[in-house]
Amino acid sequence: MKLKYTITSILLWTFASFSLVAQDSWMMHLNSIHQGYINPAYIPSHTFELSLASMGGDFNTGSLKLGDFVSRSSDGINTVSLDALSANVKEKIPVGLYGTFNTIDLGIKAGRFNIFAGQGIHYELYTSLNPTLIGIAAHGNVDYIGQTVDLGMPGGVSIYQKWYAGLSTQIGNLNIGARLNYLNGWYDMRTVKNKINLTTGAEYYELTIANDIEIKNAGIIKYNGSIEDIDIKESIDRFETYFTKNNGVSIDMGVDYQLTSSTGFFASVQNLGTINWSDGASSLTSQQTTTLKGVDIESVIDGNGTESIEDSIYDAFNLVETPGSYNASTSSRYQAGIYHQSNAMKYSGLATLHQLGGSGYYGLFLQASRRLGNNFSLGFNYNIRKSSYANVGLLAELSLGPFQAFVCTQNIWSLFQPFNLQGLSGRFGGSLSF
Amino acid sequence: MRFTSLYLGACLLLFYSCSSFFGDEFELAQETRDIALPLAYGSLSIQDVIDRAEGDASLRLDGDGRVTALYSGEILRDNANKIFPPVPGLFEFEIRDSVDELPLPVNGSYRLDKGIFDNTNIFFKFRYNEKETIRLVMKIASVNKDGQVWKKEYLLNFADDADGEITTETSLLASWVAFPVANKIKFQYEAYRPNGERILLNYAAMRFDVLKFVYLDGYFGNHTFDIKGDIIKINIFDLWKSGGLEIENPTIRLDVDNSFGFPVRSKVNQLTLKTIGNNLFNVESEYINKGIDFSYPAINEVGSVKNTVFHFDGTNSNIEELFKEKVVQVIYDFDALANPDGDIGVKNFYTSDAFFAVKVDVELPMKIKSNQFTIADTFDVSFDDYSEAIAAELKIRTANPFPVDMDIQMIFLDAAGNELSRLTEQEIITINGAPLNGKDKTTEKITQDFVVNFDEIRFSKIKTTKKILFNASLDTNTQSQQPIWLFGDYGLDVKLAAIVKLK
Repeated sequence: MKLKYTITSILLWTFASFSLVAQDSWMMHLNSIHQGYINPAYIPSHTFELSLASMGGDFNTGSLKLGDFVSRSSDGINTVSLDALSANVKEKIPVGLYGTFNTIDLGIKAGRFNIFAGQGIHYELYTSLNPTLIGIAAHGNVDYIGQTVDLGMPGGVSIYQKWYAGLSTQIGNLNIGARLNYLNGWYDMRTVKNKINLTTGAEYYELTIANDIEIKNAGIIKYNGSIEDIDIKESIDRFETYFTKNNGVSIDMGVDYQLTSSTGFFASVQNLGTINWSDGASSLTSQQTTTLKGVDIESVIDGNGTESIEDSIYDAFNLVETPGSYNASTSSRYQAGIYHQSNAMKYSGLATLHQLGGSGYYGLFLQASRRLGNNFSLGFNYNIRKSSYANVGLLAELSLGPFQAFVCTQNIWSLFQPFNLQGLSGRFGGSLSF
Repeated sequence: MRFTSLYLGACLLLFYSCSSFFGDEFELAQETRDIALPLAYGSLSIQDVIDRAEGDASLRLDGDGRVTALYSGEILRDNANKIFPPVPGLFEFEIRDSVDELPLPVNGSYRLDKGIFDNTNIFFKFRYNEKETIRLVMKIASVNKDGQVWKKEYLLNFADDADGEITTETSLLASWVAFPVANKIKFQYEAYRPNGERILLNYAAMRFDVLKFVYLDGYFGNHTFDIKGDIIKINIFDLWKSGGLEIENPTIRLDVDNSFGFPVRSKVNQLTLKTIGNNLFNVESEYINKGIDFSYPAINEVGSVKNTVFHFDGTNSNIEELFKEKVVQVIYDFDALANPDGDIGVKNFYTSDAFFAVKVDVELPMKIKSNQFTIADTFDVSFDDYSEAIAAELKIRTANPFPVDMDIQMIFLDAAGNELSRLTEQEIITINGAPLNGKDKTTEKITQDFVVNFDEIRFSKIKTTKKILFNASLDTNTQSQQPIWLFGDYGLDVKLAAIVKLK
């Protein structure tokens, strides 16, 4: 019974925590330091460019929409139906959430080179919805009598800060750029192994749980010897120190080739790297097979106490904690695209791939924006994401002298129909250029 | 402000702005799910049934594995102190003249021929009016060791003694052998003045600390060992509700160990059976009237223990008839008579570690014939862990090796014992007995499956169940018209499982 609530909580947290921030495909239409988020080969048009903080995020639920299993009553109560969720999850669905809070970005023209530096906080969360697990939570295990099913769900969460320094330069028609990022991890937790096989006996429903689980943990939970006794080490909004012993490095690289003065294509990779998690790091493992046959009648006759079936299930997942550091790759992104500027119009086409938790999230974007007057730009895009084929994004940019501000999203309809969203990304930010 | 706080504050702002799309409340839909799970398993044996009832029962298996239920009373024991308790030396015995015979403090009917002292210490007190040193030799003619008579010499320095009275140091008599004559021991002293003149002292006396013997022989007269009694609780009928159970050849067994060297005969003060209706019936037997002679070691078997086993059974008593009345207690009180025939020609002996021990057992061979023998028992249960359950299908599998048909009714009770529900006539669990096929023992288990459905209405009635009353009716007549043996390796295998509908 607690399991279904756990699953539901994870799902709701996943869906409810998206941020209205623009995915970085729109950055190609910004002539400000924010273009560097997607294109490390960006050449600033001003001597000095400073981002006044920017926040971006992206999440993806594949083919699953919130409205597939949540309905809202007239008095505002949202009802979650596990039955409906099960009906809509027929295969494993990767679910991911990624975001950044860029505190500061600075770009300076220095002769042939352009120097960049900045700091940001990255957060990543991923899992893969297991249709069998959801089916059992929704309907019970009666449909699986006599069968062995896999209930494992991989997952992970990671929060770290990124300090970077980089250069870009122009060589003929080719712009190249690279950034070296120092990563300092705050929290991480991820499954390495997540095999949980459940067999329900054919005749008398003996439950056999065979698990082979390994979870890496750094800083999120304190395991007190039992799966029922787990503490959250610190609340997410308190950090003992700003820097931990979890150090890592990643690189961003990009090229931008100007075919003509108004047309070019680019390719880039961001955040290719790894972090060594050692501060309070440990491995939680469970490798055991437990068969639950019910209470021993002779114990009842003897008047001895018996363990409840719920406690027996918890015992089947007792974890062994072994301190030790581990390495984990960061979530990397790959982009390639083409762009064209014509008078007040700018066009671009991009393909993106985001690696998160072992799953790849792709996107295709056809974008167009237009300057309206001296201070305002408006853009729309059509984009395709995994299992989501009808998305219209929006860009709105305001320029007032040296100050620019923007907001962008990849699915404007979700603002009006949140129950139909299958993913969302966006960003907002501001900058100064002079 | 720390960047982190800014970041998280922004996140929270955006989160709540976004969650305004969804409102603040989420709840789960009221949907049902069916969970298949095992409930219980085990194998029920005769030992389990006996353990469930209170009492001190054990099972004994013979070489073929046939079961006899054994109910034991406390071991009643008497030791050597009953014959010759240690005598504290409270008084001194005066040695009149220079020779005197001092009587041993024993019962007048005793005749002590020989005794080996334990850790008894003796000492002497003398008084003399003159101030001079007296040399004194004390001799106990009837006490010797290794051919030597007990003799000790004292120098009594009355010259330096203020009150003219001297008490000697103690002498240990351990391992010295006494040969009393008419239960008396002769003491003799010779006192000499310094000039060699033999004199009589003004006063001479002997004292001892505790008179103890490690061995005595002779004749110890008639004696009654008050063994006292006990109550043996028979729990086999504790769960009985109705019906008959015949047990073939029940016995009351006396097991006596005796290391005293004299004849002993039982005296039964009480041997009563109490039945389930609180009726009391005395066991009748010629051996209750005339007594049972127990074995004893002969004079050349000192140190050995003789064992006597006697059974009160259907051939020498009315016990088999009495047990048909569903006996729940055996109440007994025995005495043991030493030298019951008063034959003084039998040489008795005693050792300090000798004992007389009686153990009474009730033996019920599990060769039984049951006629709808119904037992009932109540088990505590709680469905609190299944508060979300609204219906259930209960599945029961039994594998029965007993040649006994069983009908089991389950009655669901609330905390106050009120009936909430019970199995219908069609749902009563009817377990068939395994066939004997003309043999003493079954060779197969009869496996059966039962399904009991508790729909939503019925389940709602039993959700507050705190106890389940099981009524089990047992019958052997289908398999045999004669009593049948129960074997120790018979075990009724049971598995319970359920499909529970949750909401």
